[in-house]
Amino acid sequence: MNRKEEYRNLLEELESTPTELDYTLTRAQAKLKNSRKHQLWRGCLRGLTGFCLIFVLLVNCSTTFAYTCGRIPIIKALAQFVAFSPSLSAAVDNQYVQPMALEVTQEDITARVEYVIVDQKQLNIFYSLDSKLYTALQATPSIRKEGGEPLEGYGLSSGESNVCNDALRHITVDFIEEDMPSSMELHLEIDDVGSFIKTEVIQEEPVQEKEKSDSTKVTEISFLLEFDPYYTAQGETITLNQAFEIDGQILELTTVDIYPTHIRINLDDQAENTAWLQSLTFYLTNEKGKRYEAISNGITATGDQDSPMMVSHRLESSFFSDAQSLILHITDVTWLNKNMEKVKVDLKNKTAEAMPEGVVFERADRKGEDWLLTFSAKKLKGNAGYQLWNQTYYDEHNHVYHYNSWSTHTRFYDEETDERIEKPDTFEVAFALENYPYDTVYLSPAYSCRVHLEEPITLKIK
Amino acid sequence: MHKRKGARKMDNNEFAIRIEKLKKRLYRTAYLYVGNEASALEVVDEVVYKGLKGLKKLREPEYFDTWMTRILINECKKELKRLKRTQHKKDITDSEYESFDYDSLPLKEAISKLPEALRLVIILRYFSEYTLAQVAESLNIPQGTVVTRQRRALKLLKLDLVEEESV
Repeated sequence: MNRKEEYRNLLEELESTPTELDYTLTRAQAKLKNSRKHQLWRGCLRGLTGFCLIFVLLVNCSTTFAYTCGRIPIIKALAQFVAFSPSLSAAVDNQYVQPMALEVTQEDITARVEYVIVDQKQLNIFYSLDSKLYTALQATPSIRKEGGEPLEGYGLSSGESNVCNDALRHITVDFIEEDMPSSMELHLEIDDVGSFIKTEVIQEEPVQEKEKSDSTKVTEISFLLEFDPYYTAQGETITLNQAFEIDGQILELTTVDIYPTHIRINLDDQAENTAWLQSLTFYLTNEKGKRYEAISNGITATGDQDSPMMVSHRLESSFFSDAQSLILHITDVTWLNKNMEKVKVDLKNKTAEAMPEGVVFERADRKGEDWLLTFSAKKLKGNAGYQLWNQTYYDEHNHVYHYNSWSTHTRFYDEETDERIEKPDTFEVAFALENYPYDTVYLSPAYSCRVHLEEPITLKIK
Repeated sequence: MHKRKGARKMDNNEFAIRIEKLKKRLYRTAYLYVGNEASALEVVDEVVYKGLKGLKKLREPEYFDTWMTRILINECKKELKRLKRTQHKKDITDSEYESFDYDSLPLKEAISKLPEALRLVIILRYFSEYTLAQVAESLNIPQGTVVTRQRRALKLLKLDLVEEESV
């Protein structure tokens, strides 16, 4: 086949578009409607290697707040901005906020780092971008040591999307095992994401003219963040080493870390257990009956390098309430059976040797060199969807592959009527095994079963 | 030089009509740019959402296609960046691409190996039905530069197309 034939074939191939494209506008309209209540947590997690994480996909709206009257009212804007997080709200209420007042102007863009809320393990950076030239700026943040060396053992997330100029933006940096350094460099790569429209006709120019870059990147701005050691020292660890039985498995509550920004419940398990702990539904109460709920925004649990168990689980902080007593209440638990770390899936016949509880194998379609897999499951209360499979999969020779993107839908294709139908309690997850030539794959379930405890487990923390 | 025309805002109904006409072209561009269906669909979904959400920022409705295409290119770049980060893929460097053997690869794969600036021009011009002027506007580069890039890309791909043969 010569190149021209290939070209024509490729044009023909492009003529056929997936049926999902028919509903792109419907999805956009639904997402826009939903975004008034919820903001999709689209943050990227960077910097972490070797740690498994669970994070919440949908969070309560954290509306952006523009500075309207100079710089004085910003602390009020910050208080409103962090209203989605009880821990950060308590930090602001208790004036646990380090002012930074750093400003850099470059290429018609002014970046300001106003405040940080920082403790031993977590850093929350509140900053803004402003420009008279650009109206849709987006920053990709990264951090490194002072002097430019890379930092390790952290996760960085930023959930900004369509933020107006001069409005607050938020970056969270989580250190899993390492402690917060005394300083670090914050690097912002700033892009113009499409608001600037040229109205002039571009004149024909000589071919030899120096080419103008078509990159969206406008500039890069760096700040040196130096933390008050008072803040970075904050955090208390309570050692318990208390074993308990839950749904027939033995876990040990080893320590509880209470930081201003969150609480970590750290657990260990026993080799005899038949399942690995994945997640807990739980809360804390103090002596006055006040509840501290599980984290509803960002990382909710972390694992370690040695096993699929999630060893550390997060709650909102009681730090500022000076609780004399804390009781942990566990009402539900999610497990991954040890014999389900990998499950064999027959793609051709759409069968699997085992599936996570409640998950239905909807479709497996060959798309060129790829397989497109679709699964459905029941939504959890108050949550649009959740992780069904981990992103690692294997072939029969145990070669490791990863898929990096997936889509979640709440409308279903009905083959009989050739229409999309709405199932309010269910969601679909689709992902592609790219360039995968085989008909058999080993997928990694994110869980095997969820168990509601008839009798909640209560454990005294202090 | 055109004068800026009086501001006429596009409403949601007009957006819906325009997007129905444009979405196939957006998908084709995204599919060839990011290289797989799932990512392309995700990108188009995000672009339509961003377009709908940012409709008030569109000051000149006649530039709608160009505006959406610029959003699409940004989203494709972000998706590619994400894929590269997670799959540890590396682009061919500027010093490598002139000597790279594009001829040995199927056309689709060969396009994906082109330097980004050339790849975009080829996709928009020869697969997504954009005129020379539209490509120049979408990429914010002179038309002369578009011509240079498409010529260089066609030569690397050994694809002997004249202007009339583009769709």
